[in-house]
Amino acid sequence: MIEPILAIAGYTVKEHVRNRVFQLVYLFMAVLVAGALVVSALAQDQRLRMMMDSGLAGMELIALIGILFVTVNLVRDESESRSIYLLLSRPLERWQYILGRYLGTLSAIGAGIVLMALVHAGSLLFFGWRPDGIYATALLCAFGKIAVMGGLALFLSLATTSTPSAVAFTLFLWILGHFSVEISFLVEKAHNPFVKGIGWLVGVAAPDFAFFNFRDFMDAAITPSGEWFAWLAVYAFGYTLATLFLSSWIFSQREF
Amino acid sequence: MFIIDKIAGMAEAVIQLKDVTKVYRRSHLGKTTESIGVEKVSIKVGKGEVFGLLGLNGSGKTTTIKMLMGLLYATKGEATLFGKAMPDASALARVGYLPEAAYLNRYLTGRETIRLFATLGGIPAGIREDRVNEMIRKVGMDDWADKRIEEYSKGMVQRICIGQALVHDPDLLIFDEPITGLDPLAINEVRSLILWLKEQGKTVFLSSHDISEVARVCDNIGILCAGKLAKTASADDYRNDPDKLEEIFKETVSGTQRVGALTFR
Repeated sequence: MIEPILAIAGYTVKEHVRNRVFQLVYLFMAVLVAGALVVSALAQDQRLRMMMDSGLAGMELIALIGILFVTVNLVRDESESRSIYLLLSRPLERWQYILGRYLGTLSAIGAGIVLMALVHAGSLLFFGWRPDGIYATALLCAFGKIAVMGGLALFLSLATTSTPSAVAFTLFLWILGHFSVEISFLVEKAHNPFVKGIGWLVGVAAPDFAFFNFRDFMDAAITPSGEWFAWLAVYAFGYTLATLFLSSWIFSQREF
Repeated sequence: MFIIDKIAGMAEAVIQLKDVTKVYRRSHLGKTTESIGVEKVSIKVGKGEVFGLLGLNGSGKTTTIKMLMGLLYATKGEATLFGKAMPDASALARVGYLPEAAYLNRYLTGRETIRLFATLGGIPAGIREDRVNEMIRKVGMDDWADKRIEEYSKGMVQRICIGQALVHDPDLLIFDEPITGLDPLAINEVRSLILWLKEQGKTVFLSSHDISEVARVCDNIGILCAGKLAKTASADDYRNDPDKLEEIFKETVSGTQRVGALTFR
């Protein structure tokens, strides 16, 4: 049961690497080097702070762009090129195909995050940064967000009829996911049942990025508790599993 | 309704289509249109048989094959392979499929492609690499196996596609227009392959436009016209007379073309 999933994931990684998905990583490196030259005139603490913040935000943004544009075309490209015919003509369950493609894509983007983080951490060290647990937490949060967004983008790519609409819906929910606390507050305060219902629906559909907020710990310079990590993992895993389940169900109804 | 059941006492029907109908439904702006892909098609193919499905463009050959492969779902009736209603993973494990055009992932090498399909075909890891190497050798791609598919010619892609179809030693081979667009040498090779598969006791189901090739290799044929199985025949009816099958085909499809003839004179 696992071997076909790993086989699909393996060729998906190769496909992404050979399809130059890592060009985004090179873009990040170029921007980082340019940024380092610009901030080199600042005092050391300001310089480090700026490089840390912009580097982490840049990594997350580039990984998001990568997972979004790769995932929305993940099944569509293979359907249009018809290479999916041969794969599905093998003893491969549809959910195995979806899971394998997702895991392969997440692995490729995850490797990209690791590469970017190595370059970023290297440049920080060059400017006198001392490594701490918060940096690893920030990377974990970025990866969790990307995992969730990958699942969501895959589901929307199968639920919608075109790539632009899948991209638009995914970005819309990504933005809403950063306002989950505000949406919950509005739902609580709303009197109109229709508004309450819509707010609740949006709150459930959009990922709750409050779970991935490492900034408070960074500002206080403390490492999050084990319980915080556990909830982060449960939420990211649960949300992603739900999107993959729905994706598999939609995909199982598809004809080719 | 025609049923092909020429083999007396046939123990196992490898392929069975029972009154299979496929209706394509398309919705646009709230309006649904329907078109019939195939209608009440019944075919039975026994073990070791080479069966050819003939028909004009748009007659339903590819639709029939896709239903057998579980890529399309029958609207009515039932498509079974090895007694299992499709799609069924255990039945697909015994099938090799060669589609109309060789649809392979262009970013993979030939070796990676065959290895992928060997894995999906359930070949144990311990013998997989030997089987992959053997298949690469058999399809004559030793010198090209580590280059990417995007660098291959059409004939090379076809060879890798044949390799992926045979790597797991399937009992049933389904070929959708296997010789369309190939040069005469390649056509000869595909013909030899089908005859070799027959010698090995494999069952082969193929669709084609090429009447003479079908006449050379098939034990039984069916002719699809506008989605219906209009005629069946066995090798006894055409093997000794090369022109006989063409006559049967022309008689059967006459007047069923969905488009008019070209009239440049």
